[in-house]
Amino acid sequence: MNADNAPPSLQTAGLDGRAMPLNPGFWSMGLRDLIGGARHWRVSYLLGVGDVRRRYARSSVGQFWVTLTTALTIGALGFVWAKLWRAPVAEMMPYVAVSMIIWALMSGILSEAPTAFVAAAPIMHNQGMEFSAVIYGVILKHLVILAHNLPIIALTFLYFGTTTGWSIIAALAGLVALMVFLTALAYLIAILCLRFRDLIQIVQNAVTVLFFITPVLWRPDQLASEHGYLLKANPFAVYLATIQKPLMGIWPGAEELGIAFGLAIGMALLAIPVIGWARKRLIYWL
Amino acid sequence: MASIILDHASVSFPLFSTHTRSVRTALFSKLGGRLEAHNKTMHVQALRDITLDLGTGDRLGLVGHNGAGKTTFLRLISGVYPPVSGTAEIEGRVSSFTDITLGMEPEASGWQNIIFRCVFLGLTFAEAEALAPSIAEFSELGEFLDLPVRTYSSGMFLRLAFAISTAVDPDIVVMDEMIGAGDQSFLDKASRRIEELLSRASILVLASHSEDIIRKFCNRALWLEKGGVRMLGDVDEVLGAYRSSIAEAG
Repeated sequence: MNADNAPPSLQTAGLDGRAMPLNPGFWSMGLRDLIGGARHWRVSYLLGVGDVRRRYARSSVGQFWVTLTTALTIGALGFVWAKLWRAPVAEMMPYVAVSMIIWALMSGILSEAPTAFVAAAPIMHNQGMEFSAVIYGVILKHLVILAHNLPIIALTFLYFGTTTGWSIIAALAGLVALMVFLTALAYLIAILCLRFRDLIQIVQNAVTVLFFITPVLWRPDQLASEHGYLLKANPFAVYLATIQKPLMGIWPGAEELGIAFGLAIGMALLAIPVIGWARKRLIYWL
Repeated sequence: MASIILDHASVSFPLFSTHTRSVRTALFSKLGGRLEAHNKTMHVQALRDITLDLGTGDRLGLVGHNGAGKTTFLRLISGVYPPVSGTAEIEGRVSSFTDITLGMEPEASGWQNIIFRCVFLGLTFAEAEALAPSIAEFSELGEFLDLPVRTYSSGMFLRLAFAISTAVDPDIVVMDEMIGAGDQSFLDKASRRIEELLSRASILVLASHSEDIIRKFCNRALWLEKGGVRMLGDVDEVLGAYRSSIAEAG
C-alpha cells in the first residue's frame, strides 16, 4: 500500500514503495510536516532561546555578550578595513556593521543546521514531533541573536550619520525572503547531513569559503566588473545586497527584490518534496 | 476520543556503517554499482507485524525479555517511530513518561523548569503559569524553586520532574516501568498521584518487569518476543504463560 497518499492523521505510515521524489504525495507530506512543526512553536522557541541562555548562563551580562562581542568585532574590523582599503571610517563602519550582522545570521544558521537533529536526539527519541520544529528552533535562535545585534546597527548609523528612510521596508522584505530561503536550505542540509555524516565537515568548510566570496568585508564595487558573476551567482551576496542597500537608504529595483523572493520560493519548492520523502526516515537515521 | 489502532505495523532500523554513511560511497554506488555486494545496509527488525486495537478504558501491560521490543513499542505508540510497513493510527494527546525530565535545564530555576517541562508536555505558557503553584506545592521544594536546578540533589530534581510530568492530564499514557520519586513519605504521595493520573487517562500502555505492577494497573497484557506478538490477552493468562516459559527456559 502506498501510505504517502493516505489521509491525514497523526501517523499513517509506510516507507514501502520507494516512489519517485516527484510523487505528489511527498508535496503534501512535506507541507504537513512544515505546518505540523509550527504548532510546536513554543517548544521551538524554548529550544532556540535555551541555547542562547545556556551559553551565557552564570555571566553577569548574560546574553548581552552577543551584543558586546559583535560590537567589538565590528569596531575593530571596520577600523582596520577602512585603513586597508583607504576608505573613510564613516563610510566603512556602517557598511561592515550591517554586513557582519546579516552574515552572522546566515552563517549561524548554516553552520548549526548540520548537527541540529543530532543535538535534538533525546527529544525526538521520546516525543512524537515533526522535525521541522527543530529547524524552527535554530531559526528562532538566530533571530533572537539578530535582535540583540540590531541596536549596534542603530548606534553605528546614528554616530556616523548614515540615513535610512522608508526604504527600510524593502530591507524588511529582503529579510523575510532570506528567512524563507534559509529555513528551506537549513532543513535540506540537516536532512542530508543526518544521512551522510561526512557532509557535516563539508558544510562547515563551505561556510568558511562563502565568507570570503560574499562581500562581507569588501564592497561589491571593489570587484572588477568582469567578475560581477561572482555576486550574481552567490545567493548570499544577493540577499546581503537586498537587505543592506535599502538600510543605507537606497531603494532596490523590482528586479533585485524579485530575485530575492524567487530564490526563496525556488529553495522552498526544492525542499518541500525532499522533506516529505525524508520525514518518516529521519528518526531511523538519528 | 482516544484510540490506538495498529495494523500489521513493523519497525526496523537500518544499520549504517561509516561506509554507508559516506557520500562518496553513495555517489559511486549509483555510478558504478560494483560495490553493491558489500554495500547493502543491514536492518534490525525491532517490531514485526503487530496488529492491535486499544480504546478507552484499555490498560495494556507489556512483558518480554530485554530486547523483545518493549521500548520500541512504546515509542511507536508515542509517535516517535512511524512504522516501516503497516500503519499506526494514534488519536489523543500522548504523554510519554519514558523521560520525565525532557525539556528541563540545569541552569534555569525550578520555577522556570516548571514552565519549560509543561510546554514540552504540550501546554501553552499561560496554562503552565496557571498550573505552576499547584506543582510547586506538590513538589514540597519551597524556596529551592528559586534556585537553579543544578544545585538540587538528584532526588530533588526527580521529585520536581515527577511533580510536573504528572500534573498534565493526557489521553494516552506511555510508561517504561512505573515511575516514582523521593523518600518514603513522598513516595506514598507520589504513588497516589500517579494512580489518580492513570485512572483519569483513557489508555495506558505500561512496560514492566514486575508482575505485581502489571496486575495492579492493567486489564490486558501483551507478551512481545523478538519483536513479534507472542501472546495478547487477559493479564492472568498472559502472565501465566510468560512465567511458565521462563521456568522452562531456566
